[in-house]
Amino acid sequence: MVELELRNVTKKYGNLVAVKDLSFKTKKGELIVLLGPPGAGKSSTLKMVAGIEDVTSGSILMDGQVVNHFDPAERDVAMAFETYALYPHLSVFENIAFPLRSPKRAHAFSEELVRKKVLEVAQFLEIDMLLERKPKELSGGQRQRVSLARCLIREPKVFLLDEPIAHLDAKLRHRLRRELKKWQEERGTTTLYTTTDYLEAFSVGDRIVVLNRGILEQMGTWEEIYSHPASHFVGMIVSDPPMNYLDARIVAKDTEIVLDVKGSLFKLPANVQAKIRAMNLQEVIMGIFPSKIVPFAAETLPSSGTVIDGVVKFVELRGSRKIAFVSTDRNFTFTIQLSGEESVRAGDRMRYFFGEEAIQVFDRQSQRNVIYLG
Amino acid sequence: MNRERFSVVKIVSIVGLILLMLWTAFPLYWVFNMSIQTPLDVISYPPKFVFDATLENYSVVLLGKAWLGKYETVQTDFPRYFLNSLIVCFGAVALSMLVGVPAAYSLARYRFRGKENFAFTLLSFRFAPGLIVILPLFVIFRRLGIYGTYHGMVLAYQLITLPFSVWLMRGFFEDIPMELEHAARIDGYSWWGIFRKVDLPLVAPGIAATAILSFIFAWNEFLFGYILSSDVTRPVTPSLMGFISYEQVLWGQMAAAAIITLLPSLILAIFIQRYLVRGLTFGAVKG
Repeated sequence: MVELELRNVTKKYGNLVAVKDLSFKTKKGELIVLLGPPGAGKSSTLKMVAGIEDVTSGSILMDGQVVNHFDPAERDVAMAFETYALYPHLSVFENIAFPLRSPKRAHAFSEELVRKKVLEVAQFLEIDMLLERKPKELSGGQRQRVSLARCLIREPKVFLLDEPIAHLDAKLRHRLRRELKKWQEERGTTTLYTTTDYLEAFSVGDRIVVLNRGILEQMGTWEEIYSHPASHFVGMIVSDPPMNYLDARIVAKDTEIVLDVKGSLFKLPANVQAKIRAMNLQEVIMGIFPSKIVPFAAETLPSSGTVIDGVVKFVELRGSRKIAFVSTDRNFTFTIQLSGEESVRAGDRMRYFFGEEAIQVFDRQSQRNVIYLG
Repeated sequence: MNRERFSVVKIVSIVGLILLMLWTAFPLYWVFNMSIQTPLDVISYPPKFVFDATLENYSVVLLGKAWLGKYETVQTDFPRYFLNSLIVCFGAVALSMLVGVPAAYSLARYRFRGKENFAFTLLSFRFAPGLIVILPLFVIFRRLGIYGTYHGMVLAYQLITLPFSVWLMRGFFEDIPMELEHAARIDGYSWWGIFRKVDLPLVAPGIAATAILSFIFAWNEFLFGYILSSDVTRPVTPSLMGFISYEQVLWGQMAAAAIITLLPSLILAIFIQRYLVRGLTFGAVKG
């Protein structure tokens, strides 16, 4: 178990900045997910931690010791490559056993022990019937599992998993999400795990690092990120459909500060008001997650929060959820997430509700959530 | 309609291929014919396609035995020249591989100053006709005292085999994805371990193909062997000129020697086809 730390790490490829001034620190045995779209710098970060790419500037530390100048072998990390990187001339068995046969480890692993460990990890990943095959005889998903197996067979200081289950079929992917997390927890190995899928990130990660163009947008637990996405970008990437965004102006009403969206006023929680007042903001963006807008059926209006009427324009069924696109009576549209049982059709009139605390306010200039400003 | 056109195209292309084959193979056939003819048949006009075949040319060339009513021993140096060729060519290929494989690896994998210039200069040795370098080389070899020695010739032959090996092997190394080396480094292997356990097995067929092709080029080399060898170290190609004597040209024996000289290249060329199949790294990365 180690504590992994990145301190102001930057990676440039020529003029292209892949990772910019990235700093974060894991706890011992923690699983950190790097979440971001393709090109966000996730793989580059993993490769720098592995030691197969140099850092352009900054330092990487393990248990407080700078390991920048360490060889990959000295760092004692195991990595599953997004491109698999299987050895084409070796069988699946030999591919998985390859790390155990390295000069440093070979003495500790008898042939019998190697066989036992390969079988164990192969069974876990359901590839035990493929051990005699060569990589070229495998499907993409099978290759990915061999690559993952070659990584998991070791007991390194850090696991680096680069989109390890991205190319598996949905069923296996869902099973492995859970079981990878369990595997990692049992061994207590500090892990960096990349994905483009926020659901995967939330289900495996102890904490999540959201990356955008090589820049850290937010680091936190699922709850922290979901209750207060740090930026416009985070709100987009951790929700599907993405967060609803509306341009808004700050206006004073009585002693309070409220949001004005095309003439409709929205109240804000006190801490948000304080921030806006301190920063003296005028132009902002209001954001609400589609899942935080709920249908409202009661007769009496609630004491706080907002109730809005609107017409459903379009409904899309997504698995067990329904996504409704609603044109409100107040000149703007919203997407709303409903449960699959909800009987909603295009053309229906609907009344819905969201609480004050569901409203996120982003500074229009910096695109940052105001509660993190200042 | 379509099928007809298809078959016409097919017939034309088959006829074309047959013509091309005749064009290519006829000289070989003719040399082979000469090699099993008596001296009289060889020079007869019009040329004979039907004749009594004889193996005497081969027996003279290989064993130094001629049939003059009874077997008589005559002088033959041909087996020795053949051996010389083997020694020099194997030596040249071995040295080329020893030097060329690491050179190709570093050209494929590392960035260093003047890398492309170096690679191009090496290749340019192949552009220049041997005649340009042969005189200076001759003088240098005399001064160094390696004129007419096996090792001297092995060195000279590097001009033929080395650029070729380096450029061909570089391609094979470049075909190996970097990620494989990254993975092996993370798996705990040193540079040498990776080279041995990952790179070499993957380029082994490439090395075999390169070695065989180099060998054929070296084997067919005439000029260096002609100028830089002594009587003792003469390779087989210039030795064929020895059949042109003051009194006559020994066409039959020359043809027999030529056919024998051809055999190693022929056998290797048949072997090489299997090894030249690329796409070995298929399956290494997704896609």
